[in-house]
Amino acid sequence: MEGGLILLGGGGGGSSGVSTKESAVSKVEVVSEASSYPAESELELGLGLSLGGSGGATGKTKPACSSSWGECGRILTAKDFPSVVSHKANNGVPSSIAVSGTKRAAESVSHEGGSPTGVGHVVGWPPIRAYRMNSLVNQAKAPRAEEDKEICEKDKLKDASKKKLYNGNKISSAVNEKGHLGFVKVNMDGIPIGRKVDLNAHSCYESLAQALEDMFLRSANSVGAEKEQVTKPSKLLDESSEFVLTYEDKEGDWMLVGDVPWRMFLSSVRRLRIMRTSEANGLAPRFHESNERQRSKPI
Amino acid sequence: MESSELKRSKDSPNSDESAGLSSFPDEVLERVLSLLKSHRDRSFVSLVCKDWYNAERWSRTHVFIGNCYSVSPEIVARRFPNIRSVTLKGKPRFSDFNLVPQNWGADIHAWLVVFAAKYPFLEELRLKRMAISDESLALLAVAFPNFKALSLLSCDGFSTNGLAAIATNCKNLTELDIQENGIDDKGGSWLGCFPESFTSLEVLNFANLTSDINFDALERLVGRCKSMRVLKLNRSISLEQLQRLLVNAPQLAELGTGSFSQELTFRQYKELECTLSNRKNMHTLSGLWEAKGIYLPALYPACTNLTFLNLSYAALQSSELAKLLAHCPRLKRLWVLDTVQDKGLEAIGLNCPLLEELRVFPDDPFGEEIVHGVTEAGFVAVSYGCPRLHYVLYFCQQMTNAAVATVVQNCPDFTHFRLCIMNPGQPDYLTNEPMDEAFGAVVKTCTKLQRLSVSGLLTDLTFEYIGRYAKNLETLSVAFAGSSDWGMQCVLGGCPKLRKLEIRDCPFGNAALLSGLEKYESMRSLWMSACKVTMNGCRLLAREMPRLNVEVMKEDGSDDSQADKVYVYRSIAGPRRDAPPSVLTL
Repeated sequence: MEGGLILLGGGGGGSSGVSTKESAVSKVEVVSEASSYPAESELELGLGLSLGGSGGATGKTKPACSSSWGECGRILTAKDFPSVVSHKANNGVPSSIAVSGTKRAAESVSHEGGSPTGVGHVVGWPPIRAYRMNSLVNQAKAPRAEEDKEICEKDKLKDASKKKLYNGNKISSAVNEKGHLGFVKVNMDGIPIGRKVDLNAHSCYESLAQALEDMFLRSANSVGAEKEQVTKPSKLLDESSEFVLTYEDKEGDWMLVGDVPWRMFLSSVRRLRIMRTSEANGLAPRFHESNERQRSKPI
Repeated sequence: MESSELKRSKDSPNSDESAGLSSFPDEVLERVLSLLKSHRDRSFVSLVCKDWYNAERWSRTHVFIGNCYSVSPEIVARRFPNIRSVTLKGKPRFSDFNLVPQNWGADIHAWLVVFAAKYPFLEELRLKRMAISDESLALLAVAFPNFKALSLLSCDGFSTNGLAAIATNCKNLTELDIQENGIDDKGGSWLGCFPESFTSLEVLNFANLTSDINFDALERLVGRCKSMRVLKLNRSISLEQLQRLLVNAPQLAELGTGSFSQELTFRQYKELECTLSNRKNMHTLSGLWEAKGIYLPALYPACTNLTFLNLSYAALQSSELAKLLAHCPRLKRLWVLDTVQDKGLEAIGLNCPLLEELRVFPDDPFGEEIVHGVTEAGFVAVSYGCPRLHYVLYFCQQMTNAAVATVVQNCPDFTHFRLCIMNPGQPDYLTNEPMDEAFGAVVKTCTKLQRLSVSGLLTDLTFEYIGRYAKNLETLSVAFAGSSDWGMQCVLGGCPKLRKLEIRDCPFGNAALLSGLEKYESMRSLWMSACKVTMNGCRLLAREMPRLNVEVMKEDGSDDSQADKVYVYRSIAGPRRDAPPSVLTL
């Protein structure tokens, strides 16, 4: 099929990103999704999971390039977090990846994406309890809030602070009980500015994928220009596309878009991420299979 | 009082021969002492003499354990045979902010096993920052036939299945208070597990659960529990449903609404208003998620006798708040979001002369705009209007030394002063100086100060002030502050009543840590993370002070010699055996 985003299940989530050298974070560091940088960047960001029983399958947090705040590390994916898959839904074991940022090195000022300094880039600061963070971001924000501030980092941080380390609250932003509009955030790897899409305006995966392509891949030209690593749009829409569509569900897990019936998807999706296929290496064979299955399935 | 007779014959054969105080018959002594509720008073009493120690331990029915690792369940059970109510706190407070590894410990299970054997008549259990599994809840549900009250605050490790076990089995339950926990919310069906014959519930708080509740079950439950006085709903409850519940619970003293933003017809609105207007005996109101300004007037009649209003989930504008507060003349405690801004705080100053506690939470803590939320002006405005203010928690983006000095001049009775300037290490934004003088003013003026949280750019001078003036200070929280070891040394050398010291991201190292050797035994705990303390320093501390547990939490990839996170606490139970591999006990 021409065009179309490939619907692929992903693993490892990621949220806002701050690279770090020293880590005051025992559990989670942050992976930048603004990264359009080479995977072999020296500065590796880790997504550390602190799961019951062990320090978790943490990525490495090498205090590498202290000066290279501009660089990002590669995005860690499912294969880096074997315990994500195996520990899901255990009692008392978090299945979501909680991110609250990393400790800012003393002299560091900015980080990729040019987002705000100060608040929001330090674990556990400002000292607001997790349940309150979740409640805050759950609320429908006043109009001033979302639209004009959709800088990737900030969104990610908010999302990050949303996720609890513990068995998280289930946040259903797409469809809530009051029948509010089902706008969910969509972020695409390599593009710092996220978008929002109204899921309730679509009735099937095809239509959603089309809308997302319009949103991201048509306009990717201008954004992608500066970042040499972003693949040119023309390649994105190939069948063996560089990008796949994943979503985060109510339990905080990153999943394949397309496995479940549309309505079930609506009730559990929290947000979307257009992820690089290369990051989902371990899933490749499965992906092709399920992809074809899904495509041919009537929705 | 069989038990006391037994004890009398065994333990105090010579009571008649002791002078003065101990010539009371033990029954009288115990009776008198049983009226003592404060656990501190009881501690003092138990130190008077052996008879008093025994009378106290036999008459005590409630035990408070501020650090679950300071003592073992066996020791507690041995000393206090007649306990009916237990309050236990577990993890260090910074676990609320994700600074403590997930599997750190503080598991309630070992305690429950001992309690099941030694306190079969246990009635109340209040836990804070403990790890609880569904199995533990299931055990709790069946092991204590008289169990009445369960309160879980900031706990984690359990799911709604555990709640279902409690609901199913605890026939005498009067209180179920599930606050702010890391709960695996699997759905609202647990509410339906209360049997139809169950009518004793007086307190029900599930405000922080997120999933939809089985409303029919809830409605029936509220309907048959005629003594219900505290009901705190979660966001899934709509206004319409609230209305139906309220009709069935006329005697509620504390109400937490659900979501306050459903589209109502005029008639529905009027009905709600009418129902609420009869609630003159309500003293606490909370919830109000997504509160729509146009519906707030429905609350006005119910606010006449309100003493505690929690608007920290309602992003109100200043005008909405002002209008609401005009109807709350008796307010003593108010929690708001900073969406109300300085104008809203002015309104507080104008309308709430009896206010004793104010908490202002940030609506958008990671926002980019500099001038956002509340500033020093609002803080000062409140202080002029509310001289009785003694508890403040204030999140802001900017503050000045002068403003804080004015505030404490207007309100010298502060016992809890928690100021959070959200940008770490930020100076006085007008003068660009450190915020030392602000906190200097606080400790000099507020002689009753028990709890202090500092923020902003601070040098050692702040800590000199604290050490010198804060004679009643018990809890101190420090982040991104100080210039050298001297700062922490000042605090440890002063502050005679210091019990809890929590420090993060400060340049305090081994010299500072070790300057408090003797002090730590008189404190509950010390937390230091991302400071300059090394493993050797910690080892030295552990060696010198065998009655302290010195625990170091290592992070992946960090330098082996650095002690990333240190938690030191006194304990009569010795080093704990349930620490995960990432926590080293020295």
